[in-house]
Amino acid sequence: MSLLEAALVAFSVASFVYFVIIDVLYLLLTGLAWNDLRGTIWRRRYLGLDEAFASPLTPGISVLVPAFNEEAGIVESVRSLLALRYPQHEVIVVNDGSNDGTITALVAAFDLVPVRQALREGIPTARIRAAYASRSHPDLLVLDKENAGRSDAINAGVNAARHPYVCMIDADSVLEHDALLRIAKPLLDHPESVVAAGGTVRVANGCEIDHGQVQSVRLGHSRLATIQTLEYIRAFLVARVGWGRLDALGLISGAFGIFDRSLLQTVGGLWTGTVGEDLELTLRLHRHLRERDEPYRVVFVDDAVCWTEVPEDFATLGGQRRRWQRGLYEALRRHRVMIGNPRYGPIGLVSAVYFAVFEFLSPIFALLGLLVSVGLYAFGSVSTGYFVSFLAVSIGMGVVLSTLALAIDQVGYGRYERRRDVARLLAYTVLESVGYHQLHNVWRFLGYVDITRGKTDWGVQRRRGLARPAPPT
Amino acid sequence: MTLVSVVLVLALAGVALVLALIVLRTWRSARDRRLREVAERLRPAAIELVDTPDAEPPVLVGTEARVFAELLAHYSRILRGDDDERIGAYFEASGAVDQLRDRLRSRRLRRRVAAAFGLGDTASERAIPDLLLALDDPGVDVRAAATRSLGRLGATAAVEPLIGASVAQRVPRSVTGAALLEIGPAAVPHLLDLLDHPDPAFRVHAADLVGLLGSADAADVLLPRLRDASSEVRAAGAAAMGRLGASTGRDQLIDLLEDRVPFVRAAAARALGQIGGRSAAAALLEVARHDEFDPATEAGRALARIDPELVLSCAEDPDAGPHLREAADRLAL
Repeated sequence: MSLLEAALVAFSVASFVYFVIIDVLYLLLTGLAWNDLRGTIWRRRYLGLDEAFASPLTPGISVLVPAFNEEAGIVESVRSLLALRYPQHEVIVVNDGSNDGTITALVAAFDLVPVRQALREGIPTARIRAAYASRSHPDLLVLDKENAGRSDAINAGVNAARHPYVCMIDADSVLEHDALLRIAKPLLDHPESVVAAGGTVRVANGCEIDHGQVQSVRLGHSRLATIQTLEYIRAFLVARVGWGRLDALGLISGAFGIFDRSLLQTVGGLWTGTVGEDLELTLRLHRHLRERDEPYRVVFVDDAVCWTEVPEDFATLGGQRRRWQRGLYEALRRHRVMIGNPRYGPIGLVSAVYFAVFEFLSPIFALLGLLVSVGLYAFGSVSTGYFVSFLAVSIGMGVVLSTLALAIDQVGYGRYERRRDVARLLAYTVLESVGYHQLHNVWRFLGYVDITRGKTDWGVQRRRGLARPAPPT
Repeated sequence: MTLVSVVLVLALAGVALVLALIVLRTWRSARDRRLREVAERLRPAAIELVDTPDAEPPVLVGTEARVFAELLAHYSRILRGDDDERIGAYFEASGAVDQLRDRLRSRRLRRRVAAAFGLGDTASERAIPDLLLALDDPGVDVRAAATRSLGRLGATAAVEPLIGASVAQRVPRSVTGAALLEIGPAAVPHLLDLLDHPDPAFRVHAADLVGLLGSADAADVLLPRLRDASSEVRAAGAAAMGRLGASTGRDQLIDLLEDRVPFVRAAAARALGQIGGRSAAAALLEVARHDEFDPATEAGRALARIDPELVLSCAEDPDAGPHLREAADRLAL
C-alpha cells in the first residue's frame, strides 16, 4: 500500500468515525426529542393560553418585519400579523429600501400617513427616510429606510419598538394564529430567566394559504421543497428540541424568534457584517450572559409555528446554502473563543463544537470522505464489508434518522393529514440521503470558495410568494 | 456486517413505525369526525340547558355523555352567573365533579393534572376544597392547573393560599396573577398585605394586581411604594396608580418624573397621562422635550391625552424634540 493510499484509507476511516459520531449524536437528539414529546404532548391542553390571552399582565410584543421588495405579499402578511391572537402587540414593518411598490401597497392598504416618529439611537442603522402610522390600525408602524440589509432593518425596528419583547419574522412567512402566544408562554412563566425563545419553522410550499393563514397543510409538487420539508422537520422537531433539552440551543432561527428587547439593545442588536445574523446573535447572547455569570435560559418552543417558503430551484437553494455556510463561518470566527470552552457551558462544549465540526467541516468529511471511500473501494483498497458499512453509517442512517423525525412529527404534531403526503415524505427519506445530502455538501463546499473570495452579499432570492391557493390534487 | 444489519433493522423499524402511524392517524381522523358529528347533534341540547332555567338535561351515556360534558365545559369557560350555575348543577348531578375529585388523588400525574384542570370547567364550588389541597401537590403542573381552576371558579377562599403558593414559588406568578384577576376585587386586601413583602418581585406583583383590581381606596396604600427602594416597585406602583386613575397620587407621580431610573420616569409619565389633570402638563412637557427615549415618549403620549392643544402648539417649537412632534403627528391621525 502506497503512502497516498494509506493516507486516503486513514481519511476514509476518519470520515467513517465522523459519521458514526454524528449518527450517535442525532440518535441521542432523537431520543431526547421523543422523550420531550412524551412529556409535553399531553400538557399542551393545560397550558392556560386562554388565561394568558385574557390577562392584562401579559407583556407586549413588537413584531418586527423586515421587507425588501415584498410588494406581492406584504399586505396580506401584515394583515395576518395584526390579527394574531395576542393581547397587546404592535407590528413594525421596516422597508429596507425596496425598489418595488412595497411602501405604496402598504400606504394604500392600511391608510398610512407620514409621522415624525421618534426613534432610539441605541443601535446605529442606515438613514430612516420616513415613518408611517396607520389611521385604521393604531398598532402598525412602517419605517422606510435606505437599503442596508435585513439585520440593519431589524435593528431599526428594535430602535422603534415600544414593547419589552421583540419578535423577528420574515415578511414572506406566516405565523399560526396563536404562535405568538405560544412562543411567549415561557417568557410569561419565567420572566426572570428566559431571555429568548425560538419557534418551529415549517415549509409552506404547497400549502393552501388564504388571508395570511395556512388553511390546509399539503406537500407541493416540487421535489426540492418536499426534501426541505423533511430537512426542516428534522432540524426543528428533533435537533432544536434535543438541543433545548441539553440547555444548548445555539441557534434561534431568524425566521421566527422572540427576544428581550433591552438585552438586544445592550448587546448592540444584530451584527450587520454577516449573512448568518441569527446564529451570530444567538451565540453573542449566550456569550454576553455567560461572561457576566447571569442566570438565563434560551428555550425552544416546538408548538409555536411559523410557515415559510423555501426555494424550489437548484440555483436559489444552492445560493441559500452557500450563504448559510458563509454565515456559519462568520459567526464561528467571531465567537471562536467559545468553541470547546467550558466557561460557556453546554453552548461552548457541545453546540459550538457541533457547529464547527459537524456543520462547517461537513463537506470535508461527509462529501470528500464518501468520494474517497467510493474510490478506494473501486480500486480494491478497502473491503466490501468496510464499504457497505460506510454506506450504512453515511447514507443508511440518514434514512433512519429522517424516518424517526417523520414519526415524531406524526405523533406529536400531525400537521400533514393526507396519507399520500406522509407516504411521500417517507419515500423522500431515501432521496434525501442518496443525492440531496451530497448535493447539499457540494453547496457547502462552494461556500468555502465564497469565504476565501471574501464574498459579502446576500445574492438574489427568488420567491413565488405565499398567497396562493392549493395546488390541484 | 453487524453494523449494516443494525442500520437495516433500524430503517425497517422506522418505516414500519411511520406506516403504523399513518394507519393510527386515519383511525383518529375518523374518530374525531364522529365526535364532531356527535357534538353538533348535542349542541342544541347543551345550549338549551345553559339558556333555559328549567331545562332538563338529556340522559346520555358513554361517548355522548363525554361529548356533552365537553360542550358544557366550553360554555362554562365563556359564561358567568346563572348560566354558569346551571352548568355546575349539571356536572354535580351527573357525578362528573365527584369523579374528577377522585382523580385528583390518582397516583398518575397526568390524571391529576387533567382532573385539576377539568374541575375549573365544571363551575362547581364543590370542587374548591379539593383544588385548594391540590395547591400542595408534588407536581407543578397539577398546582398550576388547580390555580387556574380556582381562578375560573372565582374561589375567594383561595386568595390567601394562591398568594402563598406564588410567594413560595410553587406556581408561576403569571398563573397565580391570572387566577387572582379572575377572582376579582376580593383578592385586594391580601394583595395590599403583599405590598410589604421583603422580596421586591412580590411587591411588584402585588402592585400590578392592585392596580388592576383595586379601587381608588387602594391608592393610599400604594403611595409609599412610589418611594420604594426598588426601582421595579416604584415603576409598578406608578403603573398601578395610573390604572386606578388615582388623582391623590398626582403630586408624587410628578416628583417621580425626576427619578434617577428612566423606566420609573416612563411609568410615572404614563400614569399621569391615565390620571389626567393639567397640573402635570408642565413637568411632562419638560420630560417630553429633554429626557431619554422611553420617559420622553411616554411623556409625549401622556401630554397628548391631557392637553392635546398644548402638544400641537409646542410641537413646532425649535426645541420641541422628536417625542412631542411624534405625539402631535399621532394626534392628527
